[in-house]
Amino acid sequence: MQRLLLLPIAILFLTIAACDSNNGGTDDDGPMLPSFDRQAMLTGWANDVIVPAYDEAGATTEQLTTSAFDFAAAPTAEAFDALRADYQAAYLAWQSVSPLLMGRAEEINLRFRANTYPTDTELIEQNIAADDYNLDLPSQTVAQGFPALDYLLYANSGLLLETGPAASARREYVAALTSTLRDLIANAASEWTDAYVASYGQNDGNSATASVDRTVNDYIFHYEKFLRAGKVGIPAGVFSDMPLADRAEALYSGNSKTLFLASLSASETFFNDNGLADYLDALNVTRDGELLSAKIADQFLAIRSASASVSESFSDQVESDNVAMLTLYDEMQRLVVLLKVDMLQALSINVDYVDADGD
Amino acid sequence: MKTSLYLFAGLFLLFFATSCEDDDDITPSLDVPTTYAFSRDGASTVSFSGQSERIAMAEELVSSFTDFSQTTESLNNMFTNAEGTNPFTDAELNASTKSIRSKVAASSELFAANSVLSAEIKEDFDGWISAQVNEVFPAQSEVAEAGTPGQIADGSSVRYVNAWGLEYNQAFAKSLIGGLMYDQIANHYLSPLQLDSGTRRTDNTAGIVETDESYTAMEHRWDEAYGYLFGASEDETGPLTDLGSADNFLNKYLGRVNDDEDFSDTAANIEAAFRRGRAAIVAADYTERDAQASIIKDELSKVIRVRAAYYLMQGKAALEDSNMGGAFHDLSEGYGFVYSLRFIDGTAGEDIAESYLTTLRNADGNGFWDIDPAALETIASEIASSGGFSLEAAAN
Repeated sequence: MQRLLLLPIAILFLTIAACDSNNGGTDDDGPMLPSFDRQAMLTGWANDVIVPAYDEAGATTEQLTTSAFDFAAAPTAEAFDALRADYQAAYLAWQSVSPLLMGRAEEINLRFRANTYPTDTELIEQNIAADDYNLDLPSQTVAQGFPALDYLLYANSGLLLETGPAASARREYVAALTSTLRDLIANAASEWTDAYVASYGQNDGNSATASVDRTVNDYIFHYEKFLRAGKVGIPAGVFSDMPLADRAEALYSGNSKTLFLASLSASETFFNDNGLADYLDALNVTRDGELLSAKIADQFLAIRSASASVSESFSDQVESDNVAMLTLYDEMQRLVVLLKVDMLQALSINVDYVDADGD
Repeated sequence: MKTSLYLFAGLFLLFFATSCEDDDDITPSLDVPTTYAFSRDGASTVSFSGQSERIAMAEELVSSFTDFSQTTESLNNMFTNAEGTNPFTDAELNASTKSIRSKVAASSELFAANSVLSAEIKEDFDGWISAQVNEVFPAQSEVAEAGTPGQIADGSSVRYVNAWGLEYNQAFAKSLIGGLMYDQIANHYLSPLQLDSGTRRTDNTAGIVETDESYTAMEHRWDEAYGYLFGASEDETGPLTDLGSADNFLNKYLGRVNDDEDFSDTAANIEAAFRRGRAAIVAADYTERDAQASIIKDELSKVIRVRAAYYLMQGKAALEDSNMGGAFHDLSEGYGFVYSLRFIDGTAGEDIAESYLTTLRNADGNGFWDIDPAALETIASEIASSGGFSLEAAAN
């Protein structure tokens, strides 16, 4: 019955919309903006954000790999300290790559191979004991990347400095993890040749497959799933009955907040300084009498300010005072609405991802 | 603008005319309870434990598809619940006389006189079990490639696919939604062939109950239909509270479709029709009963069509994004829902489903590995148009 009623109403609305459109003489193919240069924005994204982020991640994982192989060859305390420091630097650099993974990076599943946590410590130990593993297997995704290194370098790290075949297999596994990471990042980075950057910039239309739509979707997807949910919401127990302390990023080294802030900065800078804020201003997009770009910038600041109340280890934080984590999460959730609803609407971009149905 | 004003007025009239007409149709005497609770002389007349058992059996069987310690025999035993085998972890299921396989492609309307086709369909399900064990299990630690079974990553999940990209567990589970749940509900228990068989109609009118039971045969058939949809629900009398999470079969996907704002009245329509139809049986109003059965059938067939179109479009989007693992997972679910289409439109549905499946298998190429995304959209839009909804409505 309800469907029968809806039909005439739908026809009615269609009719009105059609009349309006004829009278107004406009179409709704998206924002008509001769004054804003989308191609320049895209070229900037490639040359000033994506390529430099890959360069930094490439250099730091190269250094990390060198340290890991040096340590495997000569397992001294000094070499171990250097390895840890290089691991920290590479993990930090990774945070700027992660928001804008597309193309080859997605094909090779880079984000998951580099940073799936919690890591599977049992599988890691099994791999080391067997001294035989294929890190290219999807089922090994949980036993590699930065979280696996975090475990090996910070939990029972004394095992790495022992003598004997078990310890040397352990050091070799660390080395294999680092060179795998380096090669994956180099592979994804190598796609961004000058020619690729040029075609990325030229694909400046306003369709689901155009560069602006895809990049902005990837950016918001990262913010929502990995920055908001992965780093904060999941350990804080937003999606479960209880806080899940073992789901924090950098569980063993305890450096969750440093990594979180690096990721937040990458997202914030990308919005404020690399074109999206200007684009919204050029369209004169306002909400409640205020520029939307200013509201978004303010919300980034509110998140930063909420994060002042949480400690370096998110795992410790959710156990000692989860309210502070939940408060941080709530500020982050407010930004989802501004980005995903208000901004996308203003830019006529459709969300191209849906929540996975969990099976 | 003037035209649309007239149209507005015209539609308004039509609107009221329609609603008035419809009001006249309602039988005012029918006493429809607010929950699915019916009783006779103080005893509940609602029973569908056999359906709940089969849903539970199917859950365990499907999750065992990726337990690499299983064998063809142990999985087949779950499928048939062969006597003396005790294949399930739940002793009650082992003790049950019910089985899944005997009710696959077993409806009165489609298969009573077509045992050849019924056997072929059962063999498809058998084939997915043996292929999982013989093709996919040995490739447990291989990376899948075109022409080679093995693992493929779908985000942080691991999928196990055959040589052309299909996950047999998904094909099996989603085909079961059509081949067991939908077929038993729509083509069997809600059919007059079952409801009115023998003396069931006169018995029901006279209130003659089954031996040692509180229900009439007709009431029980109707409840068994209800059980294939709501048999795993927490509250069997008010099953919409955990809609979508009660099982991983028809209930789950009715929930998914209902979550789409384009179809958000689907579950309420179905639940209300089950209650109203059951009340009509109590009142011996068989015209009303059949009207409600027809609503349920239409809405459930829409669920299958919407999900088939949805997964094909999701698969297309993932392929275009070079996300092969995600695409294969969507297409594997889609494959099962397309398989399920054959239970909707009888022989016509059979032919259409077969031709779609042939396209999806892409045997001349490398299956899902190099399937043409445009072909997926063509199938999805045909499915949408046969269901009377737009592709856009299903695809979001």
